[in-house]
Amino acid sequence: MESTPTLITVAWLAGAILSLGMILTFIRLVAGPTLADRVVAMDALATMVIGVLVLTSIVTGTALLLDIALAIALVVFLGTIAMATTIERGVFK
Amino acid sequence: MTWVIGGCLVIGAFLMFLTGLGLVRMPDIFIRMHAATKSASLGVALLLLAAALFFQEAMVVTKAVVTIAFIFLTAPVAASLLGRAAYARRTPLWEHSVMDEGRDHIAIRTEARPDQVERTSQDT
Repeated sequence: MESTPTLITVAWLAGAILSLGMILTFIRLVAGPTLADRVVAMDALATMVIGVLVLTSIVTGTALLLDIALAIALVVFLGTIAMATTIERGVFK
Repeated sequence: MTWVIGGCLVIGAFLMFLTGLGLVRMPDIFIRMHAATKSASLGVALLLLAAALFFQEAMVVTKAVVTIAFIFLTAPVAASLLGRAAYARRTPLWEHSVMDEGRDHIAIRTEARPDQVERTSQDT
């Protein structure tokens, strides 16, 4: 399916809403009182980056970006697991 | 079809906005995790569904389904481990919490952090 101008406009609107969510998540990433808060915010932020990649792939018609989305999903899961282990061992506050 | 794809995009993006709002507004880390994990998973699933409907090729649909399945499998596991770690390190609950079910099931770990012991006595 070709990307019509209407769909591109809707995708930009979705991108604007998504950017607001990313800004709010970034506030929690900076201000989170504990390390676990920051890890949760980082996880949510990575999920939103996957969303941005999907929106970009729809706007530009590049299906290849979905590979990168899958790779980010894989890497972020490992990172969150590693940070959970680190928090439980009490290396950082 | 354009409107189905556009609706999926806008609803998915709005769910992710709700993720950010919940992360900022919710009072403690366990409630924040509840907001972050579920709505972010559903939001990215809707966006990937929109991509699958948009391209309508076998490879793209497979990749989208695999990514959705992976996120739905791993997001609860990651949130569970992280919440367990935060609870074991005695992260304080919200002061209006009515239930503390982890008290009988999750061991509090304080051994590697000498300064954490004082916090434990203050919190409980």
